[in-house]
Amino acid sequence: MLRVVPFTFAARALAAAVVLAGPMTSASPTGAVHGTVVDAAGGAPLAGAVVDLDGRLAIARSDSTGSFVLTEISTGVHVLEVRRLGYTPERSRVAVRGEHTSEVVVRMRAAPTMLDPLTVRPLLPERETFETVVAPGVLTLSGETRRTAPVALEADVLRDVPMLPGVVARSDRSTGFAVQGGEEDQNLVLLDGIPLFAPDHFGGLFGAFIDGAVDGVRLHEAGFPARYGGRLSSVLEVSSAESARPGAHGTVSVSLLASTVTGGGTFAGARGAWTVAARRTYADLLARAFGAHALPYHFSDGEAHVRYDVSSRTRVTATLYRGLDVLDASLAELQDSSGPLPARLSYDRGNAAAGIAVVHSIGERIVAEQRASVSRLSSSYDQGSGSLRFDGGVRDDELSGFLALGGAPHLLRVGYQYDHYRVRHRLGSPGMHADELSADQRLASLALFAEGEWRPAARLVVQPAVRWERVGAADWSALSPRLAVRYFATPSLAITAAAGEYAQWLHLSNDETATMQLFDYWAASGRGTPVAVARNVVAGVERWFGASRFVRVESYYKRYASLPLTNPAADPAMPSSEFRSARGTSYGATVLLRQTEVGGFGASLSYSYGVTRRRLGDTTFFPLHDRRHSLDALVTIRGRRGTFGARFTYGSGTPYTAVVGEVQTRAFDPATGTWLPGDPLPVPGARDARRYPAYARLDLGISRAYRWRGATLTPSFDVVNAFDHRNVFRYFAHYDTTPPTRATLTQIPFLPSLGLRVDF
Amino acid sequence: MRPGRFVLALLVSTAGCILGTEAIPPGRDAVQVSAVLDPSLADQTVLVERVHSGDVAVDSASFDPADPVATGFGIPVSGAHVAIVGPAGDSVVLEEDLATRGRGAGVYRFSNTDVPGGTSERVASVVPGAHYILHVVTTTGESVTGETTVPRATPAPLPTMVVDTLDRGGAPMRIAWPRVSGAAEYGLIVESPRAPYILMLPDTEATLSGSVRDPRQGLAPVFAPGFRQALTVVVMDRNFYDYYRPERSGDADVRSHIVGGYGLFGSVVPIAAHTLEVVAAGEVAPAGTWRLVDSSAPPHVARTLRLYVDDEDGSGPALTGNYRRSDTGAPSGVLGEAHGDSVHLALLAAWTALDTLDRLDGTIRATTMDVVQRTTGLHVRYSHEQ
Repeated sequence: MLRVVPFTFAARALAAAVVLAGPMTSASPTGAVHGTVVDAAGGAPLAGAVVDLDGRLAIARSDSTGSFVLTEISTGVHVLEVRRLGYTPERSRVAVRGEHTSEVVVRMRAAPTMLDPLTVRPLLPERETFETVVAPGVLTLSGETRRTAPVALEADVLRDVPMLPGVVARSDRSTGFAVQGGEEDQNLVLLDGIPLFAPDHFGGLFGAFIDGAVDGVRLHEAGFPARYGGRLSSVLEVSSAESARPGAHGTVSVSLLASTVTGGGTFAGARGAWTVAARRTYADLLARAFGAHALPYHFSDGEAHVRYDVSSRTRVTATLYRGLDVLDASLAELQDSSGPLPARLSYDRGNAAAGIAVVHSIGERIVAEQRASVSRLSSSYDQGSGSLRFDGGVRDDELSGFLALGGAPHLLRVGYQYDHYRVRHRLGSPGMHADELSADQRLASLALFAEGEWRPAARLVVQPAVRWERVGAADWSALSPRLAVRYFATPSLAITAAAGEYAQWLHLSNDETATMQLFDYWAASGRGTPVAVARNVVAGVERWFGASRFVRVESYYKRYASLPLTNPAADPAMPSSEFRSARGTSYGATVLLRQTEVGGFGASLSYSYGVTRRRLGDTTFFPLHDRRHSLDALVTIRGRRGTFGARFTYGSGTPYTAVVGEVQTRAFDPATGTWLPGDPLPVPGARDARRYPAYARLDLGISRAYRWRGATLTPSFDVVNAFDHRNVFRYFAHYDTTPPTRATLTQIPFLPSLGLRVDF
Repeated sequence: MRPGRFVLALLVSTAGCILGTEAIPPGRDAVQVSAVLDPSLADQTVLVERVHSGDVAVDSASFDPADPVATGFGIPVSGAHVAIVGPAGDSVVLEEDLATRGRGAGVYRFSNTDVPGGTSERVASVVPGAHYILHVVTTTGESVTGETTVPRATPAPLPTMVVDTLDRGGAPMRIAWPRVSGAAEYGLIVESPRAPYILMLPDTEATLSGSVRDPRQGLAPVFAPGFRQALTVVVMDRNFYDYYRPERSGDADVRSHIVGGYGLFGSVVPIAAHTLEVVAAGEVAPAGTWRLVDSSAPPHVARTLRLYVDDEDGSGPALTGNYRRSDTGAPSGVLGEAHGDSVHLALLAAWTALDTLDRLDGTIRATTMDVVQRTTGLHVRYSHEQ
């Protein structure tokens, strides 16, 4: 049933906004249609209803208030059809007058729907984000988008994140990334809501997430909601895949690096779903099979996820993750006979995490969620024979929950988050029963937050929020306000802005110049290390062209007060000396054009400009992740004969500190008063004053699926750095010769790889 | 081996490559000093050299402890004006070994008036608790200064006699020392044959395990059976600690507290000293006591060799031990190795591999060892003492 209602004040405002938002041709005046879709029985607004006009399919979709807007509609009478699963389609005519907005209310009658065999395409994650997320800076990567991108040896979720604008990859050798000028440790990485401290392997070379077990990735680059805290820069939400198919199904993937098995299915009549996945590298096993012991290293991951709907109102989800790097070597096996004396050398590092969440609906307008999780990152290194051993780690026990009250147009969410952290590091000589350094920090943080969603007008969504946090050990508490606004100038054009204040009390103190990070020195705020605080403002515009193409332009400004930067002169015996407090700013702009895959073609182009500056004492410098220009292009072509993907990345040079000399240290022996040659020490030039050459890389990938006995086999061939561009990773200067020389360590060179994926 | 060096090598081999080297312009030229005041030592030295900047190629000569800069990959600075100003404003101008001894370029020296046996005519007192300033002015006008306050502790007498025996395979030995107010940290130093083993500790006790290895010396065993090894505990000032402490990272800017240049001007005071006689089990050849068969051999030939199998490195046993030139004479150290029936031994002047006096090369067959002295070409036979 369709009813045309009189032109209202709201509709006038809407029409005015439409006029302001976009040019209209004077020769052919157009009007607009503002509709509301409701349940004919109870009048409740219906979200997600698809609106067709004159046979043009899905030109709009109702939002959570049931509203939709059609703009730039030519004057005259049009046929409007509204469809929604579970309801009888409603079809009628609507008259549109030039420079006016016609108001319609669509009352839909519930009806069982007999579905014809068809392919169901869910709402695009990007479009869903556009319609439902208020704050700017939220980017998604669906599994499909990720899986069509070329891979470097192994599909890697974290390697895909730098495809997003505003994200700077540290290097080919690290899955670490900087978001809108923030340091790497300022990113909160969540696996189904469980924080992970360093989700990587092999010193950061590989990500820890098993690709097949990941459903999607959502990155909050800025203005993230008040329910997230403890980080300054961004939130990366990684969600586990949940099978919707009955029975058990799985995927086996084989790459040159590792083998991965992923299984999943539903149970209890689809009330529950489960996913398990495991991965292990096998270079060590292959080497051993050939009688060599040159590679006694491997890493492995295991992940399990389960979802169960206890009732129509209660859902329980649980996730387990364990990742481990293992090096267990006999030096006698590794070295030639002139090498070091025999000893066992062992190194292990990994994340372990477990979490459970219960979501319960109380009535129609209250949802309660309670979470509990444990996350631990630990590493140890033992050089054998009691000579040297390092143990370190960080653990976070977290309890959190919230109540979501009401519904559109007003929503209120109140909640809490309690974390207990323990950070431990110990370096010493077991043979001497002595510790050269030892640190053991414990601290607790409590946060209370409230965030609302208010729609003062049909096109305007305001999300005010506040988060109160207290960190006992640092004797710090603060109230952090946040505000996000989204204004839909048209259903396809949104203007967004957000501002907020963020705090962080757990910091990573690593040597940023190290070639690879084998150990993670997390340290907590306390005496001598203040809680870091950042304020940022971000604004942007997003415009959709049709149902699958959009462009987004955003700009940001971030200001840091009391930002702890790793203190290279830190005294290991003094836990509060790990950092020096700096100030800083970051600002920039990003552009993202994306054509989601339609008809076998998808493409994405992102460009970022950013400036990141830090001030430490009297010194101002641009940190290592200050990449001014970044360009990332991804093209996917899916045809009958296979899928082709290409990704091109360009980045202007990042700063580094040049070595300008070398001190040949002298080791003083107090027992004899003699001097012996010691280790050479580099003499640094001005901090981060030089820049590496620009970075460029082209990756190509091709795959083709075959059916074989009920299974789908997809062999793939990928080439990383197809034109073998010599991207500089680091320089090594030698000043003991005349003239002095410099060697260059490159990033990933031309690297072809093969893979096979079997779905059953 | 530092943590991660192996993994780093693995990474380099799998995920990147080192391109060929290219010439770059010379770097920053600067003066480097190395000086540690120690009230227990008769001679105090200051090393003055240039930072490697690529202006001068550095030769790797055979290291001579009496000429530590020129033979230790250094670029000595000669003819500099080197002075140390004491707490009362009194100063001593140091003299360069090159001028007084004919070698030791860049080694400047003065003698401590409080300890007998000094070898320099320039004298001054080094007093615990006192503050000292180092001034260095090179012939080209470069000026470098540093300051140190000697820890306020009473120097312990140097170890002159064996006071303890450490069985390398036996129970650990616990040692303790008094706490010193204001100490940056304590340094536990073991005179190991290849290099001193230094452990910096915030505590005033440690437990010595005979099997411990030195991570900074390729995991070489710290304790060598047959050796007499000095064990010294020092209290150090902040400069010394920052320069040598175990660092996660660090460059010359970070470690140095020198104004106008790089390096160290620090101070230590030894507060405990022992000599450990290290023993271990093992009497089967090549371990055990070897006695000279020809008693008429010249007096410079070792009369007895006491050898221990130190470690297995896959190519044959490494040997340590001591030798004596007479039955009642003081022992000195032996380092060596055995491959099959061949044996190679280095006879040390004392207890460090840096002062090898002679080498013996030969074979072991059953209970007989036939070796040739490299210095004289003399053939010598030893018999294994059952």
